[in-house]
Amino acid sequence: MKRNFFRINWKKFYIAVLIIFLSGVIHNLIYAVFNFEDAVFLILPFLGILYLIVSGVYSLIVRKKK
Amino acid sequence: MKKALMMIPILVFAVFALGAFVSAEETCCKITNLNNEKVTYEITNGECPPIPRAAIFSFEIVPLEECEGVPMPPEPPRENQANKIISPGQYRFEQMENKRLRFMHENYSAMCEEGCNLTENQTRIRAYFANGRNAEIKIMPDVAAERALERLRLKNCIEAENCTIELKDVGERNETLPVYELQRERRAKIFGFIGSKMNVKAQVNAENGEIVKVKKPLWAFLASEPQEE
Repeated sequence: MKRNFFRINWKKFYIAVLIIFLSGVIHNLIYAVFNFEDAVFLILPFLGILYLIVSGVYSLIVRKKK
Repeated sequence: MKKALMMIPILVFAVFALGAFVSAEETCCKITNLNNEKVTYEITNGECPPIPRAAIFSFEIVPLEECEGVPMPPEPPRENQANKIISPGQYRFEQMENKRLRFMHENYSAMCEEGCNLTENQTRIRAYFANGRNAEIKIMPDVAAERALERLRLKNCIEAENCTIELKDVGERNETLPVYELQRERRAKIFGFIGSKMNVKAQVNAENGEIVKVKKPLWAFLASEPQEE
């Protein structure tokens, strides 16, 4: 079977969710401990959510075509 | 004759009582130094204070109006009336129309939670909460507000912008934990670029000024909170 980055499965889904939450928590911790904040820390959670949306839509389209 | 005799002690008592009442009024004690004729005044309650080396001083009770350069005596606490300042001094309590007490100090004021009462004993302020607990308040609302604002990276807390400071008890079980809870709406950016608003709360311990808790919405960890300018 051909590998596709956007063809989502449970493993990819869990990894994406984990990245979103972990990077969000790290951002929060840095803010709470060092009182320092930079929007750069929010790039990962944003990309994670974007990936979930895109791969979800893509996977649905591919599944319907089959 | 018997009645007249009985009236004498009553009259004597009345004269003494009147005298005591008059002398208890605030007067001014004029103290003259007999060596250099320097005159000083001291506000007293009807009598001059005992001063050692009295031989070189002369004392004279004079009306309060005659005092020159004497700071006015502190205003006694007034009755607890609606919208009236109860206690004078740097801080003050004000009773609002909804019967809640407002604790004011400099630029900031804190509302006492519903059913709570504040009392002042010399320089100590004690809060009696609706749950029956009481605690001494050592931190003024302005100090608490500044600490909370610093922690939340906010600039100010203006009532017109829906910022509130409430004095409440958040202790669990038998512990009393009086806190100032500052609540305000602030700007936030979800993922660092989607503009939004969120409610933030910070609790500051009213006994030692430490931050007890900071409350934010669930999604706050995905949002940046830019510092106010």
